[in-house]
Amino acid sequence: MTPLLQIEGLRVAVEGREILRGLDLVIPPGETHAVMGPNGSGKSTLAHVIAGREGFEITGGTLRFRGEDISEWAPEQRARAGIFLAFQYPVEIPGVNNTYFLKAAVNEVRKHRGQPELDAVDFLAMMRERVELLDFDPELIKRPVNQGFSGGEKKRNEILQMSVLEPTLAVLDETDSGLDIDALRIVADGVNRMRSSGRGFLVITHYQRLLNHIVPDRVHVLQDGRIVESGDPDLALRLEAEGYGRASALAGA
Amino acid sequence: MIGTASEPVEGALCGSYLAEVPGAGAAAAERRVFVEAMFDGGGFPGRRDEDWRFSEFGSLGRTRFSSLRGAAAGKAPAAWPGECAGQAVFVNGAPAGQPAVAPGALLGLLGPETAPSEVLDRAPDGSLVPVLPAFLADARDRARRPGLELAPCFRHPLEMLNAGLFGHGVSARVRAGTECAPLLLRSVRQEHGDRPAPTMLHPRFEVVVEPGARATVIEAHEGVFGTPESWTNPSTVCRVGRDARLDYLRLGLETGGGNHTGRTTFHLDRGARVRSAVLSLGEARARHDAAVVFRGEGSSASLNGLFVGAGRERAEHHTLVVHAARHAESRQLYKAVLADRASTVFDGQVVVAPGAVGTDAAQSNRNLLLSDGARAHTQPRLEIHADDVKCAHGAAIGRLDQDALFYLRSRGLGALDSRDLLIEAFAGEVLDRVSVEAARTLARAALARVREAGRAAA
Repeated sequence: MTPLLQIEGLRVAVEGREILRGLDLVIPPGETHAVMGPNGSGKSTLAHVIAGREGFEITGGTLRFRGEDISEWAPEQRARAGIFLAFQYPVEIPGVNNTYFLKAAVNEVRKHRGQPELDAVDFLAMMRERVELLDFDPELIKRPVNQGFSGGEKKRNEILQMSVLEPTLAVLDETDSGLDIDALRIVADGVNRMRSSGRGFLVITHYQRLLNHIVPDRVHVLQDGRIVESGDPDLALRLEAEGYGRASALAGA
Repeated sequence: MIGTASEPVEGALCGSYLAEVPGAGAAAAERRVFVEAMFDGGGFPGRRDEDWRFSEFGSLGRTRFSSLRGAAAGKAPAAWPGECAGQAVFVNGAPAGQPAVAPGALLGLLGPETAPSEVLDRAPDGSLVPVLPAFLADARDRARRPGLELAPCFRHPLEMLNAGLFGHGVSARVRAGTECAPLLLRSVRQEHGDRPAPTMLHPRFEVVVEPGARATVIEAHEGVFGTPESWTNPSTVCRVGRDARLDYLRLGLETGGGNHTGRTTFHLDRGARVRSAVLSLGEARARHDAAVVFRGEGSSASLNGLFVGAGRERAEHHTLVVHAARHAESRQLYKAVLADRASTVFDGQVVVAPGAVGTDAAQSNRNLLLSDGARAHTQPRLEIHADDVKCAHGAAIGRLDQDALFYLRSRGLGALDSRDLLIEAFAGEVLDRVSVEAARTLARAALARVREAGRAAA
């Protein structure tokens, strides 16, 4: 079966500095993979380069989504094809209404899939349902995007957007940072509900804690821009206990 | 240095303006005092004047204008696209048809025979204030010596020129305790060549909102400049009585790239509230001065402005807020969206007079540049002479937020749509404070034009 995400020997430079140095990662449909690593290992670069952020220059290797080379695709093209990035730091956008924005996004994706656009009534009905599931304050969706949201509300808004956009591959960039345990559980439940045979998740995190709630199929250790070790969920526990030092030794070997 | 060499020139210039003073008799004599005071006080403002340091109207003082007032007009201008209860339309400075009067309001026409003192020195309650006789007595002296004792409109050289030269205009009065639906004041340029270009036009509007009344006033400047040297110089004075409210909207819509120097002065009595929005949407080199004088305790003013410019268009927004009373609140939000080589200036002055305790003043100026050639200059000026006051100001000049742009695109919105959405949102903060739908529509059309220009550059 064609993998959802297939990355081979990926090299990425930001402002002339090489951050990813030959990264390999394959996520088949239906699987959830975690990428763990210390600060500065290239986790966020990986997330952004999958989503198509400008300024991240691919200097080598391949980046494929469902078999297609997406390295030249615009961010919106990737989003419409089914890639979603839950931001580590969701952006506040004054003056752009949350609901309006999300409806426009949903309809761009639907248009791409050849589905009819949702009208306001259908869209709001869907939103109401998702908002309830995520225990999201309904007042927030009437506000400008992320403006004045707490850290936890911003992260929940990311998951709300994901649940509405129904991506094929979702990349969660440190979604656990800044969440208390209750919010963490709600976010994790939101993700787990969406896990299905056709959908894949890439969960990027610094801490093992999140993986108690979103149990991955595979865990990878990212170090100095490369995957240095892969294994089952026990690897995450071991990293938590031993720290990234052991992995560093492996990277050096 | 400037003085001796230019004095004969200024003298000749003054004479040419005196020759343009309309009317006869005592009214004309009074008007001439204003013109003379303007020239005696230094004539046309230039870069040597603090308030004009960043302005580009140097050509005004070197140009011989013919008055557009009363020039032949073509067909009546198109109907206003929104609702209004009362309106007065002027084409080339002359009334086009009978003004329609809104319930609760009185409309008086100003004419060439109107003496400035008939309209310039009325308090919000309608009583006469002895400002003008004193002004006339030592006009020459006062013109040179700016100070708080003189209302800002009288210190402005182009205001003096307008007071001397205005032809037709409107004196509107909203009756105490009434609520008046939108009152529309339109001044339209229609040049057909029977006056040698460049031309000048000095419209004048007076609005009195009596105690407890509520009014919405829309002032629009429309039409086409005959040449880029042509000039419109309107003055508007609003007096807002005790506990009265005024929603004021000013639209700059002239096209053809001429000069526009306009002023709006608000005098606020105790408990009066003003919300103002100045939308500069035309093709011009424009400057608008908004002045607020708080004369009574507990009054408040919200001043807002938006300039949407492309090509080589330029609009300056100058504000002067004088907190001369206790516990008054002022809010200022001015924004500009600039493409091509458009440029803007925001010059915001807040003066807190001695004893004006409890003053709460805030000022914000934000400029969005859509191309490398666009320019914005911002200058806050705070003069605080009282204790126990709050004064805040902030300014920003920048490009579209790349993080926000990526965020929108990462959700599937196209690059251009995302850009448009952010530009709309930026301008929307000001347009949200505009109660008149037709004006918001005009602003969005201007925004679409500038977005297109910005796209070409992006």
